[in-house]
Amino acid sequence: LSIATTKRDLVISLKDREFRAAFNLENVYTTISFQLRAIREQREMSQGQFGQEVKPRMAQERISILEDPNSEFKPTLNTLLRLADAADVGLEVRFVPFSTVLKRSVNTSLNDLQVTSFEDELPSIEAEIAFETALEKYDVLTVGPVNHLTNNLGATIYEFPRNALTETAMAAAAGATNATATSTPQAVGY
Amino acid sequence: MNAWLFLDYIDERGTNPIQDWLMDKRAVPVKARAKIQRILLQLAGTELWTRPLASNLDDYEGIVEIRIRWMNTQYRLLGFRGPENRHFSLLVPSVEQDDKFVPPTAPSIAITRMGIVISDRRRIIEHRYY
Repeated sequence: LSIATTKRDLVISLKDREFRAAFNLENVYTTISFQLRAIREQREMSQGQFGQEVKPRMAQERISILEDPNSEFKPTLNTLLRLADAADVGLEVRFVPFSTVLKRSVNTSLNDLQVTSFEDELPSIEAEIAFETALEKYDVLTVGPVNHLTNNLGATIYEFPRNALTETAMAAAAGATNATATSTPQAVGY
Repeated sequence: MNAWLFLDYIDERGTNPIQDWLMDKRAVPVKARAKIQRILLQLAGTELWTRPLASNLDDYEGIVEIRIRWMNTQYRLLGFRGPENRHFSLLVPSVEQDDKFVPPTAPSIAITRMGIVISDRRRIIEHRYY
């Protein structure tokens, strides 16, 4: 079944307000329970080991309950923040359009659930900032405008005139994670 | 790309007992259907299924049950991994009451239907997430 077909099926049901409200709720708790397990296993930790990382400590049985989508026990925001701290990941709680709920509901692979810790992510964050800083300087000081496009993978493409690409920007682009400079020239940053 | 493709059993009259059950509000309230569909979507993307959400059914070789609890009702969807690699065929919907299946013959029906699906691939259709 294609993602488009799955989305189309869900939209048919989401037109029913009762289904929509219920799906919203289940989407939150199902995602949390599966994501908690995915993040814990990504760190190669047992439930007991992960519970030791939570402050204050959380019993293995409690982690098990939190990972069970059928559990009647629903985590509070404070519990989620404690879990996020233990995994060293961010927690984002915000209202979104249903199109976002729909998109996330059909992208349920392990890759979609796992989250890199801040420590592991830091080098790529810093490289991205360096790249963006160089582009900002470039926008202001040289020729501008820089075209900000998005490719079919969702990555941002910075496209700028060839002879205006300064050495500084090139160096920053080369240093940025997953960034490349092509002969167009064109830099892609994820 | 999903890890699993869910399929529904089709009976000899060409009807889909899984979809009919899901859409029957007396059997499955709307809120329960939302939970069942959301969990199936999650399982479709997940490589490993673990207890208590999914487990092999004792005494019925090859049959796997997916347990989904909503309010005080334990839904037990019986199926099997197949007929192709990365397929999971939903065969019989049931609920649990007093530690027993309702209908009580659900596991044996699942065994029969598994045999039918293995010998005739026309007796399955892709599961829809209505």
